[in-house]
Amino acid sequence: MNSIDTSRFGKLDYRDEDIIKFPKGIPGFEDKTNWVVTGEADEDIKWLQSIDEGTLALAVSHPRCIDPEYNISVARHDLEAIDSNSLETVGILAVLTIPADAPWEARANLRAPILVNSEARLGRQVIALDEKYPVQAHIFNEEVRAKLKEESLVKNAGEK
Amino acid sequence: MLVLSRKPGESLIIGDGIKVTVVEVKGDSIKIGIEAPKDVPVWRKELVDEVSTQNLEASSSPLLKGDILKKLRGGSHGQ
Repeated sequence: MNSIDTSRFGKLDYRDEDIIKFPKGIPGFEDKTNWVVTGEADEDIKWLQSIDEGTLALAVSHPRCIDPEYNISVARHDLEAIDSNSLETVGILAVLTIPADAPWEARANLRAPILVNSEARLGRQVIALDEKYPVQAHIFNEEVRAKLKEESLVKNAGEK
Repeated sequence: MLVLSRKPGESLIIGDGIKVTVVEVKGDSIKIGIEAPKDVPVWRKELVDEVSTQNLEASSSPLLKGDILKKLRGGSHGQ
């Protein structure tokens, strides 16, 4: 068992076979090639934790948690890069951006999902061929955003 | 960077099987045609940059407590 000190999860234990290798890193973090998925099994939000840098983690979620109709196609070479020949057999994760001071504005990158071949332990962020999916899709619809924002304002006012 | 002058209708060949053609020049906008093998991805650079930028922003997301997650699970989705 290996372990790494992380900023979000404290000391995180992992086995070698838990590591997902991103041969090209992740855009923005091209030199970080080793990651593990962590988080509670029953939670919709998981974390992709870098094991090259304890402070680096990305919140991820299955895109269908955000858009139940989510259905993409990707370039063949993107699948080949993770030793796969079909999207059916790979895991798909959307990177989430959650502003600490305004979580209701959370967005998901539905255009460029992370593909994981869990058997080969290979991952890659790809750009879907479907132009309709935004890089920054709101997770919450307008109504829910307004409600969450109001709740937060009321809560903060109550604490003062 | 290699810089070449081309006129509308003229093309460039890059490597094996990539052909870039200047289709039309109109004011400050240039229409470019690209013929490339299916396995060569062609993206607007802004899109590629946006993915990096979004990842960098995403890396400062805080750990969330249950509340938000429940709402996410409730299927309160929207574009």
